[in-house]
Amino acid sequence: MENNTEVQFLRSRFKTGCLLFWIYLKSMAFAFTGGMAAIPLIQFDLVKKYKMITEDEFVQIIALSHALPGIIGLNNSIITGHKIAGVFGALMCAMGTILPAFTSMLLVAMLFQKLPQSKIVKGAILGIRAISVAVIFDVAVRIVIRYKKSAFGLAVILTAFAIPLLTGVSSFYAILFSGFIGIMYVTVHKQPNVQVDSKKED
Amino acid sequence: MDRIITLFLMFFKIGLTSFGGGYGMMSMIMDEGHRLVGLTKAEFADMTALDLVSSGPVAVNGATYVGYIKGGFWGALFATIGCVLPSVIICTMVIIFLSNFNQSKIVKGLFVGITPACGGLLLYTTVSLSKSVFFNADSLTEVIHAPITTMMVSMAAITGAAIVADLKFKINPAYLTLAGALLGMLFLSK
Repeated sequence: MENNTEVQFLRSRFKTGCLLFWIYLKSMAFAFTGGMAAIPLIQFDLVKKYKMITEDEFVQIIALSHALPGIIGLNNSIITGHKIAGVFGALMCAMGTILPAFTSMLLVAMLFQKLPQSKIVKGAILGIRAISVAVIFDVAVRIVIRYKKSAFGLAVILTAFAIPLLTGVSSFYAILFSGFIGIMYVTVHKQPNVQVDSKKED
Repeated sequence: MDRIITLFLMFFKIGLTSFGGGYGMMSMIMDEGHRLVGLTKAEFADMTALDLVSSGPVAVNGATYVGYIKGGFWGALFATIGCVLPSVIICTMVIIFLSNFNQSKIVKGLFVGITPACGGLLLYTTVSLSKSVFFNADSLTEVIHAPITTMMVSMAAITGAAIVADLKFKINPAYLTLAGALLGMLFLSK
């Protein structure tokens, strides 16, 4: 009797895990601008269609995954998957998140390297490079706008800009340094008033 | 073999110290990639734009791309695993000790400090990338002495148009990459 319910439990877990894999795989496959672009699609499936998780829980996990180091989209998948279907769920969600990103980029990279070295192709590559400057700059501008009212935030932005530019040290150390400054700031101020609007930036 | 281990460790380090999403990793990929596996600015620029036409998290795309061009298929695989592993480890820790991880002062402090720093680092990345993309130069003196060509002006015009299209009109960035390739074919293929 007990063995039977155990089997049923495992079977339902397996089914849920596979469904999660499919939901994440198809949502991530169409998220071209980063993992967070898939969130609305995933939210619709998990909360509205299959009712696996409540909207509140889903939003809480998004906030949590923003606050953790690592890849936000992946943090989100792992924690959501674990909440819904345990370790197997977490594994399936993680695979559903990573596989489309890995395979699509591998294909793009292979094609990109195989392109003939014609003038037209070289022109296209230069055009793409010009776009890359704009993309990086736009993300920077959006972050600066988010912190426009925080003197602390602006000071950190300026420092992180100046350190690698002027001294030539790797930006890795600028990250470590600003993390340390952040810890000091939180320790000194009991209620840090650095408002971070952790909605949809990726 | 050494190259693959280097790629794995490099992306593990980048994954572990990144807060605030894939773009927070960009400046580190540029700097550490250049230092450890000889990633050029041009290759980095290609990666940034191609990120937008491939699906899924930008960070995974970046690791796969750099891994592939610097270490073939296995390089791509291990760079991706390296980049993903910190997330897996940290999430496992959060699931086990869940209750107050988010409230911990250290985690909060890291977040408060590193998120704005990403903005500054991306500005630095913009400057650094502009030097190589527009002027094909590494230092500021080279930039000053570089003659201004129509090519430079056309590229800067494309960049400017893309900035306006993205910030002001909120056009899907994936289309920007495609538009950039198209404009490049028309105006930059000389």
